[in-house]
Amino acid sequence: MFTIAKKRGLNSTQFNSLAIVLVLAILPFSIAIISSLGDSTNTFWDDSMKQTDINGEPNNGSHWYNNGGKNFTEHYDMNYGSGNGTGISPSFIDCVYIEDSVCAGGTWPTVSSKVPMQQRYVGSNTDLPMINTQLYQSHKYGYYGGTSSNYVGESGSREFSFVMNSQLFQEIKQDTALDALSFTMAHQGYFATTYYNDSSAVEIGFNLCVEFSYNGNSLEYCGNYETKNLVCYQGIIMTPLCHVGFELDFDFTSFETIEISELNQGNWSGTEIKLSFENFYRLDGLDFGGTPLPFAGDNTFNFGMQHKTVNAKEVGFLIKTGTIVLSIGVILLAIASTPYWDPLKQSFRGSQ
Amino acid sequence: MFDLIIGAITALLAINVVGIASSNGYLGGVFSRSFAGIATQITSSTFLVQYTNTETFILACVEGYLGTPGYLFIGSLFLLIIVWVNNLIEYRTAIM
Repeated sequence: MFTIAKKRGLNSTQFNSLAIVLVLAILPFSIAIISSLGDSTNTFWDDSMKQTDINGEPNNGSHWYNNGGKNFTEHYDMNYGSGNGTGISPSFIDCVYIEDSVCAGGTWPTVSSKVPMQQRYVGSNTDLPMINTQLYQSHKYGYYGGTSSNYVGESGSREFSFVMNSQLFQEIKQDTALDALSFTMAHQGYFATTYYNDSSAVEIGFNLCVEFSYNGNSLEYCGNYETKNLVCYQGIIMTPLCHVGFELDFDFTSFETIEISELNQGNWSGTEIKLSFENFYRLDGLDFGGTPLPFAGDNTFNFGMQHKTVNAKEVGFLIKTGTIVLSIGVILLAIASTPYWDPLKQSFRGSQ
Repeated sequence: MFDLIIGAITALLAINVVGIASSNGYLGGVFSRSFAGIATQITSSTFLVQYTNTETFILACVEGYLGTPGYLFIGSLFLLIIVWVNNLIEYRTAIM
């Protein structure tokens, strides 16, 4: 091949074509290879939650951050406001909205603490095939009222977000870097007897943001999802059991994996993860209204979390080394594009 | 930053493609040269942005995810752009 090239030489047109191929084909291909160096080769998901007994573990900080916005006013007022016979103070209306983790306004209850999710059980009363926990939905505040059904809420189309402390992902090993997360949410009801069916399910879309916080610093990654609000699993009696819910996979790029790893140094026990759902819409174009969401309501929902990890140091080394090699290649192309040093032309031209 | 880098590189490639075609007797008219240049630029930038993860990689470099190697890569792209622009000014062709 060298001999043929030597005889033919490499004219300006050919060299230009080669440069174009390098930029439009070789460069993106190399970038794709470098990017894939950090992907986990494991096809199986690991459970992020720790299996505990039926009493679960105390919820040390997982809490609601926003619970759907203020579009609940009319509904709430009609059912639980003044003169409804429930005996609940009308001023509780104000407190049904959570903004930035705390009740927004209102005179009762006069609390400024974060609104907890009240983790109940881990791995019990559930159809979900992974280790999961039962959390309070967005409008179940036994914590404040002392009862278990202070408010019947419908879905809101604004932001729902909650913050998980490391109690909920104890099985993400220290000193590992995240490659992907999977969240499964299902409204099974307290005794896992609340079902839903495919004919009632709705295709919905929304944005999901995952935010990692560690030592006062945070990183946020967002993605758009379109899915049915239905999650089904094989039950014990071999009949598929379906609930309002969804299963969402969040795959991080290799670069994001490195960034997260640099944020928390692999210290997952000191990291918080916030999930934010917003901009809900229905794919059939109808108003979102009271479209069921697994985490919206006055009951409980089951939440499962799984993950894939990679070795952060190994990924960092491979990607950074690959980037250096790529940089050297581009620098050589730049120099070869000058009339002062033409290694490619010279090699092809030989001793002409 | 990403738009600047990709825009500059694809524009220079388009100029080069048109230059090669002209020097080989094609694209004689101004209109055909302009049309070919713009089409090449749009096609190549669309390819890089929508069909490859070049954008993600460059953004990762710019935002510091890859540390010094990332900045070195951005620097090498700028060097390539500077060389090609200089060639264009000095020799009327981007790649010598």
